[in-house]
Amino acid sequence: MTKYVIKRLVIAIFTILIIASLTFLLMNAVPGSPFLTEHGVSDDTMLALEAKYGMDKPLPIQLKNYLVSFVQGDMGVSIKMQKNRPVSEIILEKFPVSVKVGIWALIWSVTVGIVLGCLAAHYRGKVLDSILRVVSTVGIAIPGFVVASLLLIVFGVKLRLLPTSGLDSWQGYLMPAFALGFYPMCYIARLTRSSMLDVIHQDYIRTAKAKGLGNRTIVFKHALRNSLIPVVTYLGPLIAYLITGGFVVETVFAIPGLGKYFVQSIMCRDYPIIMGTTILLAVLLVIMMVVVDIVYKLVDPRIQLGKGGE
Amino acid sequence: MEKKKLLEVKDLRVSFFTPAGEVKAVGGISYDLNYGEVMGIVGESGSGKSVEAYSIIGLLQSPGKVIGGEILFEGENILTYDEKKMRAFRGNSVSMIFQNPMTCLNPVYTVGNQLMEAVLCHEHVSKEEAKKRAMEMLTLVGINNVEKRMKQYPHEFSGGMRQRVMIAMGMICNPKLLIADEPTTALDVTIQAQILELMKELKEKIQMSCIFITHNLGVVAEICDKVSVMYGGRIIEQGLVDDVFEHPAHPYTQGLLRSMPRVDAESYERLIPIEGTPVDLLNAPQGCPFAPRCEHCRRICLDEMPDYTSVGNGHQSACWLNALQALEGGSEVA
Repeated sequence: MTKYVIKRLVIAIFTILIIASLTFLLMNAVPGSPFLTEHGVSDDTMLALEAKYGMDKPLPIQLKNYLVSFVQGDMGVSIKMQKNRPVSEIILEKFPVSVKVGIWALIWSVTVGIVLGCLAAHYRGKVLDSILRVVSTVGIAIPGFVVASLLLIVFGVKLRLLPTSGLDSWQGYLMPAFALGFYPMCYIARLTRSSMLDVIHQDYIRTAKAKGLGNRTIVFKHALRNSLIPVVTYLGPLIAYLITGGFVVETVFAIPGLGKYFVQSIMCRDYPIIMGTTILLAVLLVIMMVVVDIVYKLVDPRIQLGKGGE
Repeated sequence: MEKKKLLEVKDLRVSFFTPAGEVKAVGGISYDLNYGEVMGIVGESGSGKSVEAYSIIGLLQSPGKVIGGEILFEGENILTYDEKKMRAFRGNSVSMIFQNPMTCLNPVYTVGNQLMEAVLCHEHVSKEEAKKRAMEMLTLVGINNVEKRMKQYPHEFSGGMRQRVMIAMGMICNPKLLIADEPTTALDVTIQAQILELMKELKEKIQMSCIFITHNLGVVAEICDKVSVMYGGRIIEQGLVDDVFEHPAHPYTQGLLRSMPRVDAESYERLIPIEGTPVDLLNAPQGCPFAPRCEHCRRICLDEMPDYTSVGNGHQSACWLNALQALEGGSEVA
C-alpha cells in the first residue's frame, strides 16, 4: 500500500511537469501579449517589457527557466492583473474563497445526489422516480449560468431573501453553493440510480431479503456500498474542480475566487497566473486520482491496489 | 418422530403477469410437511419448484404473484401477513439457502458481519452474543479457524466454504423450516458430496424441517424423507421417498427414473430420455400438462386434469392411468 502510494506520487510529479510544459507552450501559441493595450505600445517599449519579464528568450529557454524557478518554489509575479504581486500570494488569497464555496457545493451535491439516486432506484418506475428523472435530466442539460441567473433573479432580486453578491454572511453561501453543486448533484443522482439498479438484482440482495432485513438496511447497507464505485470515480475530479471554483458562479455572484481569476488571467494573457492556477488544478486532480484509488480499496475489499494494469 | 404439521400448502397458485400473458408457474399444489421432516421437490427447470419455494418465504419477484390458495405455517396463513410481519418471519421462522454460493454473499462485508446481522435483526442480543453465535454456527458447519474466518471477506472463501457459510447463515436463528434451493447444483461433485454429508449430519443433530429443491434424484434419495415430483407447475406425484422411487406411479416419474444413470445397470443398457419438450406455461394445456409427452396418453388426459389417486400409504399420483387402475382394481381406492 505505502509502496503503491509512493509509486503513484512519483508518477504524479511527471504528470504535473508534462501538464505544466504543455500549458506553457499552448499559452504562448495563443496570439496576443500581456503588454498590448488599446492605446498601442511602441516597439521599443514592447521589447523592453519583454526583456524585463524574460520573454525575449526562445520558448524552450523560457520554459526551462520557469520550471527551474517553479521547482525552487518561485511561481513568478503577476504581469498585469495585480502588477508585480507574487503569484503564490495571489493564489493563497483567492483559493480559500473558492474552497469555502466548493466544499459546501460538494457536501450538498454528494449527499443529496446519492440519497435521491437511492430513492429513484428503490421506487423505480413510480412517480418519485419519474420526477427525479426529469429534474436530473434538466439539471444536466441546462447551463450553469442559467441556474445561477435564475437563482439570482428569484431569490436575490424578486424575493429579496438572499444577498446577491459577496460572502459576508452565511446566507451569501447559499446560492453560489447551490448553483455550483446542482449539476454534480444531478449527475451523481443518475449515476447512483443506474448503478443501484444493477446491484439490486444481485443474488446477495436476495440473501439479505431472505434474512428478513428491513428495506432501509438492504438499500443503504447492502446495495449502496456496492454501487458506490462509479460515484467515487466521478468524485475524484469533481472535488478538484469544485474547490478551484466555478467561473460562471463566481462571476454571477461576484465572488472573489480563483475560478473567476483564472479565466480573467487567460483573457489578459497574464502568463504567470495562468501557469500558477493551471498547475494548482493539475496537482489537485492528480492527488484526487490517487485518493480515489485508495477509496476504491476501502469501498470494495476485492480490489487490490497495484495489481493488474501493469 | 411425532407427526405434527408444520407447513400446509393448500391449492397454491402463482402466476407471472408478463406482457405476453399470464404464465401459470404454479397451478394449484398442495402438500403437508411435518416437524423434522425433509421433503424433496424435484422437477425439471421451469416446473415451478423454485417459484413455489419463493412464495413460502415471500420473496416472489414482480411480476410474480400468488393468486390463490393458502400457505399455513403452524396454522397461520402467511399470505395474509403484512410486510412487517413477513420480515420478522423471514430468516427467523423460515430461512433459505440458494443455488449459487459464489454470488449470494455480499462481497463488501465480512462473513462475520453478515452472519451477525442475521442474528441482530431478529433477536435483541448484544453484539458479543451475536458474534459468539456466529462462531458457533461456523464451527457447526465445519469451518476451521473461525476467529480468523469471521474477519474475512467472501472472496477469500472457496465455493464449498461459501455454501457452508450460507447454511450457517440460514440456521443461525434456529428456523423451524429451511428451504434449500438447489444448494449443491453449482458446486463440484466432490464438494457436493461434502455439503450433502454436512446437511445430513445437521439433519440428525437439529430437528429442523427442510424443503430440498433439486433436480438431482440421487440427492433426494440420499437426504429426504418424502418427495414431491413437479411437472408443469403441479405436483404430479408425492409420497415417501422409498415408495416413490421403488414404485413410481406417474409416467413422468417413471420416465425420470429411467433417464437416470444407475450403478447397478448392465453395461448395454441405455438411458431412456423423456421425449418432447417441457410444457409452455404461457399456453398451458387444459388437461394433464404431461399428456403431450406421455406414452400412455389417452383422450381424457388431454381434456381434463386428473385428481390425485392414492397408490399406497400417503403415496399419491395425479394420473388418469392410476385413477382408472384404481377403479378397476377397486380395492386400492383410499
